[in-house]
Amino acid sequence: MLSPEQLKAAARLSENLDSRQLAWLSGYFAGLHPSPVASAVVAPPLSAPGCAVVYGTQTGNGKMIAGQLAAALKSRNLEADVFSMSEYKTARLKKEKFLFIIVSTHGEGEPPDSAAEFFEFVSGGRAPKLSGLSYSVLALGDSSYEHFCKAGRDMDARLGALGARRLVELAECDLDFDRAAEQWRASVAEAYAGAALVKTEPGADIAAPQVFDRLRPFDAPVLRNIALNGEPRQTRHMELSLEDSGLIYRPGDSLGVWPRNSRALAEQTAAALNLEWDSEIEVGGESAPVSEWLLSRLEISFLTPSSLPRYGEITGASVPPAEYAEGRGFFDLLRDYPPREKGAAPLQCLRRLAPRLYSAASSLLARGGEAHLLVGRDLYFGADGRLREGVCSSYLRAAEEGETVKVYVQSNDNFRLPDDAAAPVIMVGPGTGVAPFRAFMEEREERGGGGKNWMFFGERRRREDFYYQTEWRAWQKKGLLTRMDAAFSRDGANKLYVQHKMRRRGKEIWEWLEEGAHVYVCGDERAMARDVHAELCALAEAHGGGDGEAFMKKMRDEGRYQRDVY
Amino acid sequence: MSIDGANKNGGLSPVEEIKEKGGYLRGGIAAGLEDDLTGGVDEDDQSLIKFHGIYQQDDRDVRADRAARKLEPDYSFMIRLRVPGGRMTPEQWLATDFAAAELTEAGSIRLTTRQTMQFHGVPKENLRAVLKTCARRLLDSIAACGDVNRNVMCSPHAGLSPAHKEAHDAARKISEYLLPRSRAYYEIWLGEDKLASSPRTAPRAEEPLYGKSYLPRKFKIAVAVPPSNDVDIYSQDVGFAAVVRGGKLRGFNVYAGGGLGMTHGDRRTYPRLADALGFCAPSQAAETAWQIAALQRDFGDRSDRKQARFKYTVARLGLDFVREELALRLGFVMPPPEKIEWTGRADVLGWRETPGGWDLGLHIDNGRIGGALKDALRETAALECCEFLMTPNQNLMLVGVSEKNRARVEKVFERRGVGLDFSGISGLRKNAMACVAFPTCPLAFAESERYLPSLVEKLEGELAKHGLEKDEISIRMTGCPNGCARPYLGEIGLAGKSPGRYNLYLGAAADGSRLSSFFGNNMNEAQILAALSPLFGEYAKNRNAGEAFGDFLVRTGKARAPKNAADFHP
Repeated sequence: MLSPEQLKAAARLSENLDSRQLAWLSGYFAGLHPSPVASAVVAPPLSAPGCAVVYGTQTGNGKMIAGQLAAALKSRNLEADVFSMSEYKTARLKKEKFLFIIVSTHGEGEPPDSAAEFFEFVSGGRAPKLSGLSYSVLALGDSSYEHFCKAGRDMDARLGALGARRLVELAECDLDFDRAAEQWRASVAEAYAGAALVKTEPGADIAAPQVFDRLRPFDAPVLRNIALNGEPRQTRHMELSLEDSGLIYRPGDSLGVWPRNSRALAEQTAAALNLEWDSEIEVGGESAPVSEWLLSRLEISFLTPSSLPRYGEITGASVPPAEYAEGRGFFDLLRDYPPREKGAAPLQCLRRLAPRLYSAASSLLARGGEAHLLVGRDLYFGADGRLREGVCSSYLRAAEEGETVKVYVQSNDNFRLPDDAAAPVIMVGPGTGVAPFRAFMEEREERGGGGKNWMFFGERRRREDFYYQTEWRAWQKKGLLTRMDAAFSRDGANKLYVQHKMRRRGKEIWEWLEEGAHVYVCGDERAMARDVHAELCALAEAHGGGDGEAFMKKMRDEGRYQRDVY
Repeated sequence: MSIDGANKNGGLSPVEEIKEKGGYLRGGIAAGLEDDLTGGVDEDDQSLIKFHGIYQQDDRDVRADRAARKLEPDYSFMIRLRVPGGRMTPEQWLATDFAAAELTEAGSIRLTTRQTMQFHGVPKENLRAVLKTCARRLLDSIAACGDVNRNVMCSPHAGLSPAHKEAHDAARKISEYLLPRSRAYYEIWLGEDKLASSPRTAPRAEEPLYGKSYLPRKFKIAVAVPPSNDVDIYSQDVGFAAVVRGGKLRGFNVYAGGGLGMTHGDRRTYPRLADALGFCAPSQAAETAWQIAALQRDFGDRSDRKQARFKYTVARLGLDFVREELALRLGFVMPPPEKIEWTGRADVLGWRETPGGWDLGLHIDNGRIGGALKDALRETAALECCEFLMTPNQNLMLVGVSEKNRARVEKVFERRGVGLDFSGISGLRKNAMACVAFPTCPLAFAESERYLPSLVEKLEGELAKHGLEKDEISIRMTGCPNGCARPYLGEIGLAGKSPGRYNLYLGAAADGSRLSSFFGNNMNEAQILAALSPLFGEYAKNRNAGEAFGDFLVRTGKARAPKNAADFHP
């Protein structure tokens, strides 16, 4: 099958690889091309009209689900073309027979940056009549926000309004989307197969290599876990070992971390429900010990508004209004609105514990088998006025060296260094938004190429909160970091933020943009990214003339303006 | 030899290059102040800001912890003022009190052994504000550090006699005369516009004494009014000892080539007492100081900073050469020195009546002024009833208080709960002096200011066993061997070697005219106590009437009297 040269190359490639890495590679190669085995065994679909799976994603979850749907279809011998919304040619839309959309919701109900254009087209007056189209939408969201799954709902409604036929009902997925997404994939595959009038057989089951992913996370040993600044902020720098995992991440990617609830809270909850810590109980059709449900499977640390009516239905307890969920956890609910009967049943109202994503703060190339994370402390005031901490930040803060943390790699192709190593790069990452840019710098330092780098950082105080200060200074000294501006909001009399620093450097930023600079923004959407966007538009207008929004849109279309905001 | 960078051994030391490139003390200081990514300044500029009286320091207690947190050291700055003779007006005192309270992290004022004060923990962002605050009251920090003539000292009892006043005038004149002429200080810190004609094109005009490379090393001058040798005249590069006859200042005996700094284990380095060169008239003092500095500028070692002090130049060239060269430059031959006598170095504490009114000598532990004491002094300054005078022993004198105001001053101190009765202070504590050392001094090997008080307390216990509580015995401690607190002129001298460990030196003369000698190596507290306790016992038992502790140790052979400077090391 292979030429002698190819065989040699393969042998060279597999040298020094352990079994896990080999397994990973075999999976990688299998994914590069449709399996010849599968197509040889199963007859090609004769009359299948083909379908498009289109995703809009910020963190990569949408892309992952799209890939899984395509795989599920393939196993039924159905072909699917997978596109991100940013690369999907909207002219195709009116010819499409089957369209499956996966889209997440951000900020105040907006789709991800990369999906903006697709949404604009579909919701605008130029959208074609779609009476020949069958579709289904999977909406990703977070029920603790007001505009839960809004982008997906809007898309679902709009496609209907354009005359398309809803093949499978809209699936609204919360942070714990795994099960809901799986159901949706199955329904879509079933319905599509039926609708396409294709008789299908499941494809040959190809043995998948052992790969660590969201549902099969890797137990990464903690090598180091230190607080970069003092109390009460305690922003932590963590170094995890990915040794022997075969996990590969690129700058811009995130690590998903599966948190665990606090043991004290889990035990309190078990006691409140009269549940034996070690006894097996069933929740949502699955069986596991109480300890496992409460420590690592269910979200008990805080409530979502939608869990309240479910709780009422299950327990017969009177239910508080939706505002009650704000700043309260499941244990508060059990105490304030006790269920009529104790036991496992009330647990049914809870959503599953979901992994949290942290941008990789290191380059795999520079750090060997390590991944570094910068973990902000997620503090908020509970309804009782007490300071509470987000489940994953408190979990990671307590993770000691030698313990392990369950992780996987979440790739993010919407946040990538330019292919051209000589291209200038402008990075805007205040707070923990600085994390991916440390990875960028490490990567560029390793690879060389001479591209200029300009970092905009911001935090409260230089003395305490300048994350990785000594490293930035060293890169400056080396000349790798061409420029750096930092806004420390509490150091001066006036609160100064990154956008103010950018305004002062407007002319120079414009010069960089004219030289082909790529702009990256990472961090808080509402508190930062909007202002930075406005500032970029303003400086484009001031120095380039013309419409700033249009200029930035062009930048985005060219892949020169990428954001990872949350 | 040329003015700019005379050197006999080829390669210049790196600091020489920084000075030469610095464009008359400017370097990149101004740009560094705008760099908000660091609390410090560039490495080269750290050498140059010293000439402006500023040291970059960091809190060494947290250095390792911050490095682990990927943060730079916790930089801040120390500002040392230039206060010739240590004299300040009440308005000046109020300005410094304000600056310390509002613009520094330490919040306190630190009096130094050279009769000036330091602000510790000044953030970079506040440097200009501190110096502007001082400038409004005609205070500056020019040349308080760096390779230039430092703050000029003078026996502090200005109100005591007309001769004292003249001595102070001489000190002030010398300070002004030897001041760098570069406008860099005014440009960088006070916002003065740079002159149109760039000083780079007219170097001689900008710095007629120093040239662009300044001196090879720091340079220290003091004026003493015998019989008090409180300024430690033998430790100075140049000393002027007032010759007073019939209450009138006749002139000065001139001393040259003193200096205390040395390096542990480096026998090429040693403390050295100044030699008498001759006598000059009061009107010749400033020019004499200038020409001696010029001689050091031209002959000092610019290749090795450990050999660059004037004392090594004198040792190398010989006293005769120095006298001849100086006569050529001055245009006259100095007559031989006149006879003078020294009695001691301690300050007079408490109230004392002088022709100019009442003086109040305040004992200040290690020169640190904070808390209630600082409040009392501020309120006293607000009365505008006296001059403030910093002494070479890190103490403070309020000078020229009228009878009526004396009661008001006492009331202020009483209200603040600060006692004015110093009779309870032991003779040892009264004569105890420590440098700053940890946590801010970058040179320190061991604690000094933070530790000496507790050591003194333990030694007081030993002294009490022998009834020596009231005897005036001087103890001086430094965190390194460089000699800021003049340890080798203390009857008990301690120089830090490593945390908790000191070399012990004994036997200096009470009047500062004889160096101590090495006694014990690398001693911890228990060893220091064990070494000193029996010596106290023998002193109590066997001393002659009026014999000082240091003199006793040398007479009885407990300590060696070093025959020459190089004899100092073990």
